[in-house]
Amino acid sequence: MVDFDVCVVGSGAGGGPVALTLAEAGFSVLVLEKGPWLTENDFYKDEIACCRRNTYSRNLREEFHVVEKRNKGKGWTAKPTYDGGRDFWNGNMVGGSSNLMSGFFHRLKPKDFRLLSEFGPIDGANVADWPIAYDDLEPYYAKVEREVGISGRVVDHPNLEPRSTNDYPYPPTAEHPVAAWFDDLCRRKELHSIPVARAILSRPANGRSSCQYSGYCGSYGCSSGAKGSSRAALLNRAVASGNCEIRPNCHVYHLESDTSGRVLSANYYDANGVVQKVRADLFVVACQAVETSRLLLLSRGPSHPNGLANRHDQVGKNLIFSGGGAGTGTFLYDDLDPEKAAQLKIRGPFVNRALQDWYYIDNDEMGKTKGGTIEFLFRHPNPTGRAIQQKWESDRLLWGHPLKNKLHRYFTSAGYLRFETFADWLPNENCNVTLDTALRDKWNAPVARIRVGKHPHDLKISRYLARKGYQMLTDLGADTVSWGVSSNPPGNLMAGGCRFGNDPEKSVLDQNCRAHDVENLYVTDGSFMPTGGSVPHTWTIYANAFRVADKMLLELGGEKVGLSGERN
Amino acid sequence: MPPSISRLDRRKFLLRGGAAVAAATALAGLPFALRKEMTKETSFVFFSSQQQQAIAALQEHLFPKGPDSPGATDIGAAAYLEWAITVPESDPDTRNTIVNGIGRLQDATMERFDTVFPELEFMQKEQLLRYLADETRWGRLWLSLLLTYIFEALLSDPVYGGNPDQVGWRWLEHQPGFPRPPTDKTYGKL
Repeated sequence: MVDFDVCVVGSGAGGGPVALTLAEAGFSVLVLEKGPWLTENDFYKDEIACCRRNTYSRNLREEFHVVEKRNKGKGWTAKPTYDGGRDFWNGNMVGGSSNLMSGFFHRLKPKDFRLLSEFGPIDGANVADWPIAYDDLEPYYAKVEREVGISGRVVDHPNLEPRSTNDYPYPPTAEHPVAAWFDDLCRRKELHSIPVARAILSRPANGRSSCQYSGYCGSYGCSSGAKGSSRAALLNRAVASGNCEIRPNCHVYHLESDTSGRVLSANYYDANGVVQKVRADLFVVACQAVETSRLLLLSRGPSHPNGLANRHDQVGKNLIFSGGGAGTGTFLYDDLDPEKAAQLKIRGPFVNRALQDWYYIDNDEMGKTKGGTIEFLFRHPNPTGRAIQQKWESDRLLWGHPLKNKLHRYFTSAGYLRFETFADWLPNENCNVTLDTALRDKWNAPVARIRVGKHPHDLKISRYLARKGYQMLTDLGADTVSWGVSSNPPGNLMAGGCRFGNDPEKSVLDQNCRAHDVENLYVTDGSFMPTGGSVPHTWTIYANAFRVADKMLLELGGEKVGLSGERN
Repeated sequence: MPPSISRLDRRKFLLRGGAAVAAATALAGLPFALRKEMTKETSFVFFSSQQQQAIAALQEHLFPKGPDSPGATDIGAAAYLEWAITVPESDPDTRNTIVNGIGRLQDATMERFDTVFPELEFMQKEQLLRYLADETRWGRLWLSLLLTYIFEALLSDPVYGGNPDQVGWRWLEHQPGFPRPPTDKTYGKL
């Protein structure tokens, strides 16, 4: 006897599509989410709550990670995240980090599904082809456009992915005048300016308002519901079906399995800290890459002595992020003609432009290799974050009138355009999740220990792309451009750890994202990805979760009709 | 989301191996409700009168009023700082760092000038702070942290007590986002 047909652990981009698909098909679905259930009524443009304090993540004294970074002696230095540095929580709430994303949406390209075959092995990297092809995922990319709500405009360019529809279901969001500067420059340079699709509604739909162009988007929860978070776009509808229950503030600490290896129950602490168990036929784990691997490793059982789905010691391996660099161009208003200066001061609409002319590279300098995407955007408008960067002059602390003069000049004399590059973060043996042997969270469970080793190839690609970005901003008229590449992982762009594949000894999940050795366990967040593409992962996570939901539906016997449990 | 937005890290400025924790610990968990009654002109409920005077003088030196620009007093920096380090969700280590720093500043002032910080001449303050920032690790971190809180007072939503009448936003021609937070949906209440 089970409590629900399906239990989904985690409510972000991996959990939402499964909950919606199965609930609308008539199955009873429970979603367990460790964070609170915030709504549009809780999201305001408040830098303190959003970005200066840990409102949307865990108390780092109670729940944290241990991060291992390469030190100068070529060894590894481990440091808990409560002790400084960036944390790896990205939005613990119903809808997960999709509430806070910018929603720059790109599909992977066909060659991304067969990186090993197309570009060959790279020493020190554990590159693998995907067990599915782009064509398997294309219908679901299209489904995400409709279900999550993606706005944009398809333009032809050499690296455009094959599409089953001509254009996006929603027209582009309002474009900033700077987008036209960018288009003009691209025409002159014979590059292909790509209008970036956004998971943001440009007109109202499904009870959600369209974008209000407040100028604050990424890192902020959306006050209008236009942003296509798992919560706003999917879970609200799943709940409305009458078949989906969401339990917020519930922390799953163990998936209990029997001697046959099946998962019996999700064991969790409820909002009052009381232990609860829920039984289901199928279990879905979608806690974001690091915590998904951690939960499986913590979930030892009689048939899974090393953790659930970890018979071949693959859980936590091949963790990936998105490799990248960034740069900021300073455009002094006095050096622009007045019309352009006035345009640059406009706040609200989006630049929404990217270049993928170097998504694949084949030249004397680099040889034949995978490149990436360069995204162009305004510098984030958060004023305190920007002000803080002004307090140092080299390594000397400024104050008094010199500081104030610098601050005033910074804020009032120039506009700032940025680029961010996205390249593969090659999976390698030094990027993984394990359980820390010493430190435990407030629930007395070992915390995740994240080793964040980066392959030097990624830095080379990132540098190549960043130089292109630098040149673009310079050619657009920037007075100065500062840029760099980093070997630090962007914690908000994580994937892998439970790679899918056809070989159970080298992967955790089969091609349908079911655990090789646990017949009723699926993983539907970004953990499945063997490689990440050279774009943000979210669209692909959404699409794959819809794909897996359809596979689960088949396993459950198709849609339930009526209340009798009869299935067609 | 852009990966470049940094949070105020709650331990980044923790001073290691510094002086023993001061009385702040005993004052931790001050009722946030009391903050609502405060204005920048009136009572401080966490800082002692002496601490408050030292903080106010220090903040005004770090962020002085100009002919066309607000100073620390204008932006409510001292009251904001007190709120920021006493709100129940705030980090006790950061709170201790701030309070310990005030004590160290007072000690250093007394040792060198045989008076209290607010009584120093401008150049004396400048020399002392320059020494602390350039020659001592704790001073550098402490002053940097204080500047961060000044920036928060200058540029956060007025609902938190700083930036009264949007004086900071207006000075820097900053356009805030909308909707802005109501009093019942601020940090600590979500």
